[in-house]
Amino acid sequence: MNLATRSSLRRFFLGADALLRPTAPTTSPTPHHPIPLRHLLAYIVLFAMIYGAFLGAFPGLHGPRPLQMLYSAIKLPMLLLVSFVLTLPAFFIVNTLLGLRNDFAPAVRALIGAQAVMSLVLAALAPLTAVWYCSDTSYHAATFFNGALFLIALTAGELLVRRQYGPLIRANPRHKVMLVGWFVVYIFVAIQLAWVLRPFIGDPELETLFSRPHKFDNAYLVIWDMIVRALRW
Amino acid sequence: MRQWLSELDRVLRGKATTLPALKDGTIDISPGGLTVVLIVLAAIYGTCMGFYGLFSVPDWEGWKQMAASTVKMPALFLLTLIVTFPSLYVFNALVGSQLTLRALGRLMVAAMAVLLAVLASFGPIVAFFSVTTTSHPFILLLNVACCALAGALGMGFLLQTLHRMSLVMEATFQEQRAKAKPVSPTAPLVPLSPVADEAAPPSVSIEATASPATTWPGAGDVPVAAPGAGAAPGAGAAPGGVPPLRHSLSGQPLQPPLSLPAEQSALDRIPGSVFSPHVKTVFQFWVILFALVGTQMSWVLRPFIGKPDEPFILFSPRESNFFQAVLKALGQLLGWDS
Repeated sequence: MNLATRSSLRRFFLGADALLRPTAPTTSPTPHHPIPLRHLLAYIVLFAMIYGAFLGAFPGLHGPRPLQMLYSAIKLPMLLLVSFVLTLPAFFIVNTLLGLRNDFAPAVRALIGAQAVMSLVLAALAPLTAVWYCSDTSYHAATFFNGALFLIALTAGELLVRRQYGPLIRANPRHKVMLVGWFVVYIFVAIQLAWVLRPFIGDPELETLFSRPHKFDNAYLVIWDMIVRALRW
Repeated sequence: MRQWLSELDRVLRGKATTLPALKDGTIDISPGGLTVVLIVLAAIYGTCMGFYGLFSVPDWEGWKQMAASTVKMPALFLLTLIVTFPSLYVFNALVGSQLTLRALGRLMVAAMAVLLAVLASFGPIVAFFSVTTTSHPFILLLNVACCALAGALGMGFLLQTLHRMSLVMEATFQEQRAKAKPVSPTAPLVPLSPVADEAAPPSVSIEATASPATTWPGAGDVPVAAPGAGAAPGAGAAPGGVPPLRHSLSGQPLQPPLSLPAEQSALDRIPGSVFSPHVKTVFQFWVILFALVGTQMSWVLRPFIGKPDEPFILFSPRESNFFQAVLKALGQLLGWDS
């Protein structure tokens, strides 16, 4: 590895470190972004792939599990980025309509940064997933455990968004409305996309596949059906 | 096309509807060009809707459904506008609004452009759910929700722009009066409009008091004469000239305060209440009428989505109504309807 490559790699990982740390409060309406956008996108892909690989390792590395690890490593960054891309046009138009177009670039950076932080946190939590898989063989328990880790990562991402969005919200409180609106739509799309891209963990009783056949039903209807059944019980 | 898109951008950013931009009493847009853009936007959303048919209706029927949705969506909005516009114009004129046919037409085109831009921006989400969902009621309700949200924003734009146009036109009206007959500081109440004079409560009347020219929000560095300043916009006030307008009861200045941000969005409400209650009521009723006609028109032009495993039909037979269908879809979705 030559010096230039080593230096750019160092800069890349130092950027990830800087992303996690709170910056000094600023009164500028435009947040300061020392990390290039391509690095943020690379963090999302790289760290989500790491967590995805761990996610697919249930219940161990025997049999077809390495294939499931590969599938999950591909699907997790897809989940984050495709959900984001699908919500971007609506985010752009409504931002424009609310008079926030001049802040669109920093707003999008903040959202991409949040996903990068989410991926970073997931990657950091990946060893916990491995320990869980080693200590418990229940598929449902593994699903719940990873769901909890996702919630933690989501909270961390939200923390960064608040940090990045702070100056924007102070300059124009409408950014807060926009942020909440985007978050609701993003989650709405991401849940369905996760349902379409399933399995991420992969039931060991079933065949290892990139995605389930006949999968095109609706996540929300499945959730509603579960609620109705639970209430009937 | 690029110019038309930049016009759409101006409308969305609110640059076409700042007070100085409206000083001629109309929105400075090319209605023809913007109409082409809004047809394209509606067609994009129609195509996204058609994805459901493409994946759930067998063989070529799905493609036919997609093509039909692509054509029907622009038709839905244009026909709704054609049906509701004459009544709006007539009642608008009857209650004494000073909006001309041209100004009203441009206002409608701009409002539709906002509505359809928002709707088209939801297109990718609708297309994604259309491809990944087999539930017909879910897709139906998702589309209804997207249209309702876009409609709310489009109609919000319409009402806010109308309010701004009323402010500008009232200022021009008073300015012309002041030119014709100088107003003394103790001038009698001046009616907002011929009809408002007879029926409106005193709170909508205005009186004149002395003050120099002012800058309206959104004017940037371009000075605009205060309403009733007795000078052409941009020329400033004549010394000892006619002062700005004040509400007769509250005594508040008619023109908006200078503390407003220079950058306004298309949906920002500008303080001031020269809006005649009659005109306001007509527009509020029209918004409801537009929504009702739009929903019924969509019912007449249905199907937009296409039911799974059913052959393609261009128009469904006449039966039931939109609201019953939505309630039925909701019932099916939640398992309340067998």
